[in-house]
Amino acid sequence: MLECRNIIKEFQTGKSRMRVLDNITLKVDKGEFVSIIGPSGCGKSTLFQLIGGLMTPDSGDIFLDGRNITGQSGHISYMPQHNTLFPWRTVEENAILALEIAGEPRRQALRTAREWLERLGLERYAKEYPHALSGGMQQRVAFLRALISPQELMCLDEPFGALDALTRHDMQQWLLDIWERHRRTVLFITHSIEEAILLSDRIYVLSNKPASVVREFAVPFARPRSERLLEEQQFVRLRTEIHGLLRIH
Amino acid sequence: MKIAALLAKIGPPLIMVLAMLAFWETGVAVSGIEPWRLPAPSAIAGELAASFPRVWMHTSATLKVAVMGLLCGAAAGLALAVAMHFLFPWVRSMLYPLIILTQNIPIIAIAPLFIVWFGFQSILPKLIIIMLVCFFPVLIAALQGFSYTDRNMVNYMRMIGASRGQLFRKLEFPHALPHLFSGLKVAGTYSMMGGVISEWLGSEHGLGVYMRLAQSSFRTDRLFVAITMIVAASLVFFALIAALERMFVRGSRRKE
Repeated sequence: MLECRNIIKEFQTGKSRMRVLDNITLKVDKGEFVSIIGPSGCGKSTLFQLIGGLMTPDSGDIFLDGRNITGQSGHISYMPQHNTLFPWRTVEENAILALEIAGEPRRQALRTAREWLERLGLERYAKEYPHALSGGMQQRVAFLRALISPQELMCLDEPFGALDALTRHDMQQWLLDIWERHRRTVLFITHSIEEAILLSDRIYVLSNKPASVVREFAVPFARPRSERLLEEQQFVRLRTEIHGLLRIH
Repeated sequence: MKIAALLAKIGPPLIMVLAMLAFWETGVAVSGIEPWRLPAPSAIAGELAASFPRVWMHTSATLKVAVMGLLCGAAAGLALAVAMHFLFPWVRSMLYPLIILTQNIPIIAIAPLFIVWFGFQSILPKLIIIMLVCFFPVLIAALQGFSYTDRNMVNYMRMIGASRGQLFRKLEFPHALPHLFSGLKVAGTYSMMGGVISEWLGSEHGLGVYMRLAQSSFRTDRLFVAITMIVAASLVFFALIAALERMFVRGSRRKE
């Protein structure tokens, strides 16, 4: 599905060039949930901006379904960390934004959005404006907006990073549940180790400044998963191992 | 409930205005000041009622140019803002000083030029003057609104493949609407002023002409009648624009 090959990205800071991404190679197969975990500010979001086509890498290529999409935008569906719902659009109008951009007629897009809102139990918020919703609810809408985008690959950039611990916990369960039912291809950025293990099929651990792939983990737990996983021996071992890696690099 | 809310909103300013009028009325009666210096509010109201057809003829002439000038000026300001927003930065920096220049020259100084060029019977010099005062607040407000668009939202739109046009229609323009309406409110109040000044400098009809005649015959009461009409018209413009704002600005960006 998605393949990043030997991505290098540098930024000019004053007179010196700072390397942010150093030879990143990773792939996401169709229907797979893959997480990228790394220290805050290590360049994870830069990687997303490269995949999203907002910037081009200094070297390396990005392939989607075998097609080179380096520097092209519009191939992924995206959910950013910060709330980017449009305040002048209602929940359902926000949900159809990506469909509108893709050129789908408004009426048809709205029908899709309403079906999904109902499926996720959010139908009573359809006509509300975002400011009337809690932070967690706003992120659910942002997730739905990404989910009903026509693009197969969803890139989620620390989607729960701005939420409080309790809400975050709920949202992980919620996302896990929806994902296991619908199995979209997901590339997920986080700095929470537990979140990554709980949700993912595979995890890439990145080092700090410049970011490079330190190790790749396959997460062995069967699905459907639940938070009871958090107490299992194997879970704890994996968590400790990843934690150790992040500390060294 | 609705009437109570309305009363709570307009009650205090209404009481203030009535108190001021009462103070003025008694002040004039007690001090015995000559009416040509300061007429009482009741005298002004009497004059307004007595000569209403004539006053309305002049007022409607001013209203006509003010509304036309406001519409043309706002349209020009918005069009220029959109054009400048889409142009290269260096074109923008070329245009900017020119636009500031149009605001630096006093209207009094350029209005006679237009009157010489187009004649004082023509509506054109008045229209141009009102446009000159009205386009600027709209232009500045719109440009500011476009450029203050949330960076995260812009990134999101580009990431999901929005074209430049879609980015503008779906994000930058709706985002700029509250700014745009602030500019329009300023332009709305300027438009009456621009109209009166241009008529004062040369016209056949309008409140500006009416005021000039009143001044030369020391009819202070008529000057106050004209002021009353100008204030009333400006308030109506403001209310209309605010009503449009409530229609078009939605969600949390609506100021209540």
